[in-house]
Amino acid sequence: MARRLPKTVSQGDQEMSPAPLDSGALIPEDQIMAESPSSPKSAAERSILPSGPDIAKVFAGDRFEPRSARDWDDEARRHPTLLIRKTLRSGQHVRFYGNVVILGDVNPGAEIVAGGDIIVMGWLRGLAHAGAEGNTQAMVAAFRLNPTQIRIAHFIGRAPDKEDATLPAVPEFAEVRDGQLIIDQWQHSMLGNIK
Amino acid sequence: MGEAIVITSGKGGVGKTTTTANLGAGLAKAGMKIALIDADIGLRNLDVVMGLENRIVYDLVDVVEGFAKLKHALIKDKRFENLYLLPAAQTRDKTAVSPEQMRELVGQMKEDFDYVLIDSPAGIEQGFKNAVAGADKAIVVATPEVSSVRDADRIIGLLEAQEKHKPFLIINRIRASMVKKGDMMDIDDMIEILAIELLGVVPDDEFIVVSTNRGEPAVLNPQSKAGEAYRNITRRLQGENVPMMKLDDDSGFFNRLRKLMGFKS
Repeated sequence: MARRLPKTVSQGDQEMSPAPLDSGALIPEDQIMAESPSSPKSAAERSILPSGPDIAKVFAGDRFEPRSARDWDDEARRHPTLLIRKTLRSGQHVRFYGNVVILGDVNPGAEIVAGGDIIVMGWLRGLAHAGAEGNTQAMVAAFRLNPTQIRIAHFIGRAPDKEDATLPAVPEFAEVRDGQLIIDQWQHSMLGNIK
Repeated sequence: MGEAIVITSGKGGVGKTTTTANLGAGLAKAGMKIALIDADIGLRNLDVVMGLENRIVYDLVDVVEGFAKLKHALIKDKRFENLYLLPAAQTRDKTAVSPEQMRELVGQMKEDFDYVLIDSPAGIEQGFKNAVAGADKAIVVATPEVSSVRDADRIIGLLEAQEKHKPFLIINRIRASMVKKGDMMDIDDMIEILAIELLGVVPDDEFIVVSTNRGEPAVLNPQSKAGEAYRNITRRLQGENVPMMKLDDDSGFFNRLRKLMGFKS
């Protein structure tokens, strides 16, 4: 498996000597962009999908056990995900306690801070901080991963100072492996194997 | 106890950030301990011009709000051990900081550094007021254009109202050939209007574009004419008496430089 190590930066850590990010301090409750799903409402009231038994059919193929609408509601509550259909430009930022998916690019000077994973369906050139509340299992993936900086939990990696002329034209992801931030190519077999 | 100098202009795009980066690098090269502050919150550039963008973890607003310590937010330069940058926040705006907070921050930094150079944003609103608040001296950057001189005059008036040390002037991007033909304001015209002490004249130099994009201040390049001008200015800042650079021999030089850089002349 091709592995591009030195895009991550251990040396940067020494130079910057960052204080460990306080768990949760980056995402105070009052700063989250979306509210957590309000609990008392039933799925039928909240959903624009067909409610009741129908929603289970959508997912219930050979591989999934049939689940009720309420199960999926719980699932969504456990793994809240924010979908953003726009390009984040310099100075724009997203802070969300769950996962963040961007349908667009993230330009230099833009920031995403997420409690969970970050997926960019486009170029990631700005800053992405996944697992910001201390989750070292979180990952950052992008169609083209060329960030100014990537952070996962308290790990920080920065772009190399010399322009990396050979940015592979493949999707990549970053994760923490053996106490190091690693950037690796996205293998199609990985779907479902990500921790 | 060091000295805090704000670099300001009123008008945008006249070279405040370039000047800050070059003076910072020039003074650091001379062995001074230097801190640069990017006061342009929301439109930060100094980090990019210095080639330090990818090292930013905490910024000025984090420090002011007590979220990070100053020593954690200061970024050490790639080239000089004694040059540090305090970057601005990009996702906030000028109202995130108050002049009182800036005064306190700059006062604190002056204890550790010989010079604290503050890169002011364009305009005369809160960003400008923040940048100026903690400064002991001011450098006004102006280009030889009527609009730039008008804005510089306005800024000088505002600085004088604050009873600071009388500001210094840097004339940026002058083209000797155009001045000769009478197509550009000349230095004397500008000084006559602005009536402040001239610290230096920086010629228009294509190398500035290259150096800005590469994140390497021109002052470190012995071939750059603008770099030479900035070197002279850093010496004047330290009290040396350096004669003004001759500007009229530039055409041959620029052609040489262009060839050197691989541009068509």
